[in-house]
Amino acid sequence: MYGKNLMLIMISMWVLLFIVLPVSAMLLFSFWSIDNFQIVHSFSIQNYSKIFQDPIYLSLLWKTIKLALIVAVLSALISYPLALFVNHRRGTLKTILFLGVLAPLWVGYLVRIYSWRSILGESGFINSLLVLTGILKQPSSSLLFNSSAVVITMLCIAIPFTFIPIYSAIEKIPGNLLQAAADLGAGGSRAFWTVVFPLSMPGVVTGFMFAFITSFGDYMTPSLVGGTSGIMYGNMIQTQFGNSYNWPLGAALSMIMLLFILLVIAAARKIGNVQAIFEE
Amino acid sequence: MINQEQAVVELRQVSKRFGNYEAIKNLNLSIRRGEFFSIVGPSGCGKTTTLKMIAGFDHATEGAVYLSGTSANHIPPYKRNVNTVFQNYALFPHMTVYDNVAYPLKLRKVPKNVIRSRVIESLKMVSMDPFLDRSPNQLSGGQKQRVALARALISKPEVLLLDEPLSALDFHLRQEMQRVLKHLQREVDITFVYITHDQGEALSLSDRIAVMKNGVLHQVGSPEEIYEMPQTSFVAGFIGKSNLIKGRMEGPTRFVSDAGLQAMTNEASNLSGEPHVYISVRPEKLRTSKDDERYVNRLSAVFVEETYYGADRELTFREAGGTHILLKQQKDGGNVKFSEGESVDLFFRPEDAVIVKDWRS
Amino acid sequence: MKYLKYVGALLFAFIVYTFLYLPILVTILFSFNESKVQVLPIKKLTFDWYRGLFSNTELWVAAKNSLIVSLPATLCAIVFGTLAAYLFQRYRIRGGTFLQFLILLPYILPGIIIGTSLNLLFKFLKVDASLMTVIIGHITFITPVVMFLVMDRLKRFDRNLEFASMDLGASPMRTFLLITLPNIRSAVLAGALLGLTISFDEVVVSFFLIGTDNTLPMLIWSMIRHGYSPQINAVYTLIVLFSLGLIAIAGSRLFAQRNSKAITEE
Repeated sequence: MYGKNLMLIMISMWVLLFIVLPVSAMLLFSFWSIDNFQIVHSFSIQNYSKIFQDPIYLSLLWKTIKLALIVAVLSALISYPLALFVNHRRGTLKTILFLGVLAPLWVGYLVRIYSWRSILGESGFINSLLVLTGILKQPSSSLLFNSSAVVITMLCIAIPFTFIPIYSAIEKIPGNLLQAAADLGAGGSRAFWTVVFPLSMPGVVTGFMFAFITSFGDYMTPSLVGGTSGIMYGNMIQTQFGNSYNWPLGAALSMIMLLFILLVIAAARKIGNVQAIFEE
Repeated sequence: MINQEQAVVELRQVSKRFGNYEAIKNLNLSIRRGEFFSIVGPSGCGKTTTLKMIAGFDHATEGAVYLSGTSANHIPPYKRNVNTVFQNYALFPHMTVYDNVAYPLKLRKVPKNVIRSRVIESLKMVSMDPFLDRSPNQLSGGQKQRVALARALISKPEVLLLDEPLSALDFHLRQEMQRVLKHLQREVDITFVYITHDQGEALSLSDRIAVMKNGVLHQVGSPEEIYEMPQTSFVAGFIGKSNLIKGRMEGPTRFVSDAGLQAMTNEASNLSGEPHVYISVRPEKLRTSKDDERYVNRLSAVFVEETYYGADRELTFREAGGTHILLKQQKDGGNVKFSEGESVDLFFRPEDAVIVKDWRS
Repeated sequence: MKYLKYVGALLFAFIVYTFLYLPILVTILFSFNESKVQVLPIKKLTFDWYRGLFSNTELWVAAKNSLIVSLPATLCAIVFGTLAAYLFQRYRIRGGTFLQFLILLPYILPGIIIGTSLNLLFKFLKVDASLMTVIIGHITFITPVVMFLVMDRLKRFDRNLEFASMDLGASPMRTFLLITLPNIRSAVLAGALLGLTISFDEVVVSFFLIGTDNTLPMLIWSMIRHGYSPQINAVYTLIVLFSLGLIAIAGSRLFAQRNSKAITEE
């Protein structure tokens, strides 16, 4: 049909313009190099060999994976019971609680990082609270500018991402399935572990994946609350586009991040349902 | 000039495949102008696909659909002079009853005052004119159905397709709507093509019926022809109840069942080449006694049970071949009681034994 | 025992919601704090930071730039997102799932990848960074949001209504405009509101695409790097309240429709 083809062409144009061309440009740049602040337009795998030989890059990559994993695990551990809690409520309260977890997904990304910086800061909210209540004599400077500050902040950002797929997986489990389980003698925790939990697994996998990807690619959180010890892989890419002016290296670093994330998605797609994030 | 004899809808050697699945197999069908035509069959028989091809939502893999004599294969649904009443009514929820019915006219840029009078006229026809400003959500199923009818008829299509329109209604409403439909069809003089799985509905409403099964057309004919003279064992069993006994023909009117029953049939048969055939005897044609000498066929059977249906009763027997035989009797004082296991002779006339082709699929 | 469990659950939920909203609450709280340091107890409340916003022309220009980005980006995303949703929901397309995945990708991928790859494409094409390049960046991640909201709605939309419309004489185009669109309007609108909110808040992708004109979050990003200012709290309090309002509207529209549909289906 005429209309179908027209739509298909428009959508394909979109994909070409917004996905295929940018990634191609990135791939192209990643095989170029830089000499005396000038881009050398000839094919070379110099950037990749540098990344895989220089321990700075690999150790940072490894550290970033570790931090992202910690965030993803914590996020899943918190989101799951939260999803159960929200799913047990009724009516308007349920809707409000649900939207309440969702809203931060779209609101004030930057301000929340910024706010955590002042909350955790030496003259910040927590320190002044602790001093005010007499728990601490002197404000502590150990709360900010380290990896744990990064994890706390990222967790605050990641929980909504993890919550949605877990919640929609749990919500879809029909109530009569639980009744059936209870009918067959599986009540309470048994029904949970034999019925609810296995059925919600795809949601957990997807949620875990989202938390991992979000944290893995974040560079604003580490640069605001991480200090020098909290630097992550994303910061390295950012630097190449900023002060270092080494776009080809930046492109190669980005390319590696993209491939790694595509691998993670491919692994998660085997078990999870990626589209669940949008189902509400 | 429109030729009154010309078929308003014609399907010529139409086949429809979905991948490897053959939904319609070499279908030939000719629907006359102004008739109430039903297509009946169990679900999956291809009746809805046939309807969609007439409406233009589906296209034949092979063969062609003709509308008033011209091939319609490349005419999109919105350019066909064919309208449909959908099973779930498909009333537009964001429009009032009035706007729903006016929709086809608005599309054709009919002047406003003309639209108004025609919408009201159309709604009056189905007694829905007091509900002009209602939203479809505020209507009952039967009312929605009436509005859907008014909407489909307002642009005076050549053919109205009805896709199981009454299946969502309860029994009493269904009967009422059947009357409305039949009445309406005569009034507007438009060809109705009615899709249903309910053979009773088809029998009582239609001028002619097509019976389908698994994409194959088994028989087309008037309700009487279909009921009295089924051509295949499927039609005999699907339209009304029927006793089917398997056997073979040993002469133009001589039937011998596999269990040895010999029966005279009154039907000059061209099925003698078939390795085996069935005779179909309607339950109400069987007798427990030889009423007159025309009842020459005798079937020995054993009584099994009796089912009570108010005005009549149904007796179940088992004949020598093991087949259950149903016999329907009007309830009256003279009904004989049988006891279980009792041997009974059943009688029927040659003209009531219709030879049918063995074609259950 | 059961009671204890219930109290435990309440406490847990309370802590998590507090954790999620603490940064926002602290921001709002300290936007009224007279002191330039963010320390408890708050000694004196003030509206000075809000008053200061009016005279800060830089902020107003940035806010205007943000709208210059968000409005056209959302508009484009609505067109593409609705189109894509319709295409994937109504037609069987070879490789459709993959195409769908590609459109979804900018939403799943970290902003840094979208940002750097578009940045490099523009460098390659020798297009100067400007608000225009930021608009393109924003279209990429708003489109999937609109697409999935509309797809979800289309899934529950009775296709027979479209058939009925065509049957009654409307071309596919008019059917879409007169029948489909009015019925998926709430989802499109919710997608638009959500898209606006996300776009207005976005800094990660914008960072790599912005030229000399700052959007509001980009301006705040540079302010943050220069140190703490309660004025940032004041700006963000306004933005957050506005965004939460938009989300509440979008959410209530979606849920209202869902519930009313559930009732009529019974």
